Amino acid sequence: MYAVCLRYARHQLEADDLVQEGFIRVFDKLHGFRMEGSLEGWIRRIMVHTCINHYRKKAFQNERFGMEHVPDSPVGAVAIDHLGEAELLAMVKELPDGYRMVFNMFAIEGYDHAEIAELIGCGESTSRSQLAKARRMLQDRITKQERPVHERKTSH
Amino acid sequence: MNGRHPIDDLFARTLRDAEATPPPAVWEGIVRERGKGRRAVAKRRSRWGLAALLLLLLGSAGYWTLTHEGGKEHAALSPSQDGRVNAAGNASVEPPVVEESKASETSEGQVGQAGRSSSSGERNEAQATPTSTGSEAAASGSNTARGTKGTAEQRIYDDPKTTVTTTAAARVTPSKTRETNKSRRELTASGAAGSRSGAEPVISTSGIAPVGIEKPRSADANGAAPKDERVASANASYEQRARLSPDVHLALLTGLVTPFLNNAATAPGPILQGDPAPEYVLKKGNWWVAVQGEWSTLNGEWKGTGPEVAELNKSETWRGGQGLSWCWIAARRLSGWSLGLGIGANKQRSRFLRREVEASHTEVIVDTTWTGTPMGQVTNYTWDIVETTVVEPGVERDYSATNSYTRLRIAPEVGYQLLQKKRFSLGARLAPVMMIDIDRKGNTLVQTSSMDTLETAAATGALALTDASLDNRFPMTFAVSAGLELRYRLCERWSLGALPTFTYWLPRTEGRGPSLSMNELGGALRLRYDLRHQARRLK
Repeated sequence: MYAVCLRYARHQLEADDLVQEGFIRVFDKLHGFRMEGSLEGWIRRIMVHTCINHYRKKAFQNERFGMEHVPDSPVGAVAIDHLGEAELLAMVKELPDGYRMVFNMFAIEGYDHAEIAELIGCGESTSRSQLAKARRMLQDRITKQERPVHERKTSH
Repeated sequence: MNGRHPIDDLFARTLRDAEATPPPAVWEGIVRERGKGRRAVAKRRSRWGLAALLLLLLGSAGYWTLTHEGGKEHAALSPSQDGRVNAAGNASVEPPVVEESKASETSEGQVGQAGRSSSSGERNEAQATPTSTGSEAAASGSNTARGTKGTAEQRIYDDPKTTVTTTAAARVTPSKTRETNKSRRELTASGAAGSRSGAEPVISTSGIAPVGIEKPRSADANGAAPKDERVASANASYEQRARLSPDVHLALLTGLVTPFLNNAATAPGPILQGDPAPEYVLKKGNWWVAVQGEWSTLNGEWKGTGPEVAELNKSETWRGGQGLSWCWIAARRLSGWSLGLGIGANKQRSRFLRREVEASHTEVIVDTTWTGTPMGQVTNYTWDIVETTVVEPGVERDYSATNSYTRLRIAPEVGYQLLQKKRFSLGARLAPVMMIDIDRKGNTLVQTSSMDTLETAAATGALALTDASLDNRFPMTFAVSAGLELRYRLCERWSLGALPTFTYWLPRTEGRGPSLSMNELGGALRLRYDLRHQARRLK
């Protein structure tokens, strides 16, 4: 669960808060768990919703930080197998809140845009737009990380 | 096509099942917050209890004020005569009764008789039958004196002494004094007695109970637990970045904490837990309902040109008003403006005290008896003049009642939240008020030109407010109410507001009849419950 919160949080302190708040909710609502499904899935859902609520409080400030410099180029598939969990997590954390939220929900949790729009309180088009921008940002950063590796490889 | 991208799959594959171990401080924090949570729940429950208690008290007070008058009955006309009230609190006006009286005087061995009785200004016939043996007397036609009201048939008297004095004594012992003056004249005539006619004094006994007497009565008668400082410091960067936003920057520059910023009270989630993170989700608006109790002092004046207007202003002292608005619903918008509608009942009370004084007056009633004595060829007629002075007691009527005017009030209200500091908020409000008369109790005055009284002040008479003829006096009225609202948020949804209010009744077209002009200065307590919150993005 801490890993889930790390994905949604901007930094570790925020993730600490989220996991703390999430578990408090878990304990508060534990009597409502009907033992019909996976406890882990139930807790995970609470954690995700806690992160969403937390995000809704902070609300989209990432939109105002100007992502216009992100190139509007098609995202191509790249060979990124060498990237580890820590690097990928760091990339996700660097995403603005809105992008990170939508990307996490769509790419990792498996929500569709309609569900994301409903949960976050925005339009589906906004969700699609933010997902696309998140992909571009991740692509850009992956490319930047690959270049030194490639340069190192070619220098030998 | 599900729209997935290879990057999505890469991150999902790597991060979906990733695991991490939280630092021990997280678990300590969970234990700590769980304890706070329990206390917060207890505190929240106590606030709910307090709010419910306030609601109950407010409702009870409103109900009590609307249905009870603190032991004073409304009532109705309560005249008392001479300020005397019997044990049952009833004061009755005794109709002046002139008792039947007889006054007889014999002169020179002759007997005269005067019989007279009068009640309510009407006399029975009084006859004086001359004891005549000759035809002359019978031919004179003046041997019978009839005391029928309004007529006087051939009275013969020298010193009528028919002076009626009106005394202004407010309280006169309700007794009747009677004096009899006797004089005697003798006429020796052959039946052709000199005759005079004199108007008989009219006894005015206006002890008629006024109209509208209903019931006689006495005459005087959160755990705002701040989170760790590390969170605050981390969020400080958020604020700094947020200031870059033109929207938020502008709001922060205003110096005023606008209603839609830092409004921790209406934020979703555990808003009272002291979340230091700034809010960037604004509230689209929220609906709320409220119950409100009002109290006010009244400054009322009857206006109009009728004679009863001045008397009304002298007789009626406005006391205060109480109101209970049982339904207030409003929506508050992001901008701080709110629009609501309130429906309630308001009861205004006044003291109606009126004293009607009818002065005592005296009248002298003259009767004559004839006696004929045959003296040889002639008959010597003698007559007795019997003067009876009747002092009618003054009548003093006290009308004492607690008037109440209950009106249905419908008030659309426009409000604006001026500022907000923590749990306190200050707003201004303006409301046109439509008032519909629904109940009246007590007494009022009407012009009674037909009243049978001698007093000019009695051109007006008391009438129960329930009389249907008074409906025109209490039409639908409009007023403007303005004031402030100082509100304290008890918990997330409940808040209690104090509303100092001034209400001015718009003057209506004045006719001849009295119309009520009033302004109210008072306050209200409003217990408010926010129904729901709706978030929207700041743009």
